[in-house]
Amino acid sequence: MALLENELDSIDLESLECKNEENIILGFMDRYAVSYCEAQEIFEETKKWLYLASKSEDSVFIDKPLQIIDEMWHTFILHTRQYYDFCLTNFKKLIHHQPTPRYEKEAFELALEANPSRILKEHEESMKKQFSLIYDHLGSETLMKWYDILPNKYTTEYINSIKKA
Amino acid sequence: MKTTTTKTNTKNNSKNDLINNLYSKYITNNVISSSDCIRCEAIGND
Repeated sequence: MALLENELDSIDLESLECKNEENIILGFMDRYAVSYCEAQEIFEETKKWLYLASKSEDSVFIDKPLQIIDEMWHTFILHTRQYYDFCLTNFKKLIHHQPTPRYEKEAFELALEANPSRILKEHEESMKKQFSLIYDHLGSETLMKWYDILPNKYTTEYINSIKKA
Repeated sequence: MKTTTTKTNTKNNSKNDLINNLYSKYITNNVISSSDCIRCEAIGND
């Protein structure tokens, strides 16, 4: 069920605390050619993503449009102490990063080949469920930002082009 | 009460419209494959 507007407003995402977050932002800038402001904005979206993951009863997934958030998440995880403290302080639990195992990828490819219409239908359902979750917890602006604005700018090709050696 | 119901329905309609439009755009711009559609999951452990 969608949250009411006033409930959504009461979620103060800016209060998501991360001690010494500039270390993570600067760490990201060591890996990617982006400005401090840009890295800071991506970090804010990543914190929102982790907030969403903490609120969801089911697992949530990162797909291609959210790749830049995933890249920041990787940087965040490298700072283990800060990441652990961030999760426990804000969510009272640790949010695990769990890559899809190879056997699941292979099974998916086989299923897609065998029954594309069923897989596409399941994909549509899972995507719309995730869109709905984002809308309910973070609002329409975040949904548009994550699945329209960010992927238009941060394509895989662009991300690879700003990756430092 | 009637106003509230109408307002809620309008809100749900706009949410569904947004989600449907976004999915149409998504499916046009992305090739569905195992490596594209699921890259990692966030699972919270208490």
